[in-house]
Amino acid sequence: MNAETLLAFVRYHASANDRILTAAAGLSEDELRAQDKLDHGSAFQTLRHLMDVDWSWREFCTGHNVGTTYVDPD
Amino acid sequence: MDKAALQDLFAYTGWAWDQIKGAIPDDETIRIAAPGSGWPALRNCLAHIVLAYDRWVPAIVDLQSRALPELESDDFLTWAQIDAHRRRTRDALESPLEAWTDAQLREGHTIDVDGDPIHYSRAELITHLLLHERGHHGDVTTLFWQLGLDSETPLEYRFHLRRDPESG
Repeated sequence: MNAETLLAFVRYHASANDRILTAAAGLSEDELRAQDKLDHGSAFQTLRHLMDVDWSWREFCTGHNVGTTYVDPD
Repeated sequence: MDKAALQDLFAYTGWAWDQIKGAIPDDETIRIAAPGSGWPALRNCLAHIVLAYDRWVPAIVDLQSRALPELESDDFLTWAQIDAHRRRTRDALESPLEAWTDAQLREGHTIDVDGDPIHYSRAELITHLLLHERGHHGDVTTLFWQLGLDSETPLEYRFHLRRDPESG
């Protein structure tokens, strides 16, 4: 996969994340934290997982393996 | 996106499909209601992934999209039915993809999308279709969790690469 393709993916990823976060910003705190039948439990935890994975793999790609460290463990 | 990358994404989605197939214990699991899901059942999500090819492959090949077909009540009820549609729709994309050159894939065309003329290259639409499938992998793993199946079924791209820890 060449740099042009990877950049297209990165830009698409950023644009999709922007849409997700814009929609999430419209939720109340209660809605964001509400437990539901989701494998990550709530919208908040799902978003946190997205952020964790983005951050930890970006760190890995730049030579810094963060292991199981989380952006926000709570 | 060049032809090699498209073919890699195509192979990846094929591999992931096989992982999904391997994680479903029986046809009943495809049909039962998944509590809490936005999808009525697994069959609806899998059908949506497959039927998207019926919508977009005509746009990629003949430059004219079709409406997403309705899910018939007597179809996509068994894995045999689902897999038959899967093979049909994937074959319709794989053959022309093999034949096109990078230049042909990159060339812009006016595509009829539901009556609207929109400028896309074939490569862009193939990417769209394969990323659409990838996006629904998340729904599939959530459905697995809601149905009490193994939601750790690894569908991620890096597992498709089949690297073992010693390979460096």
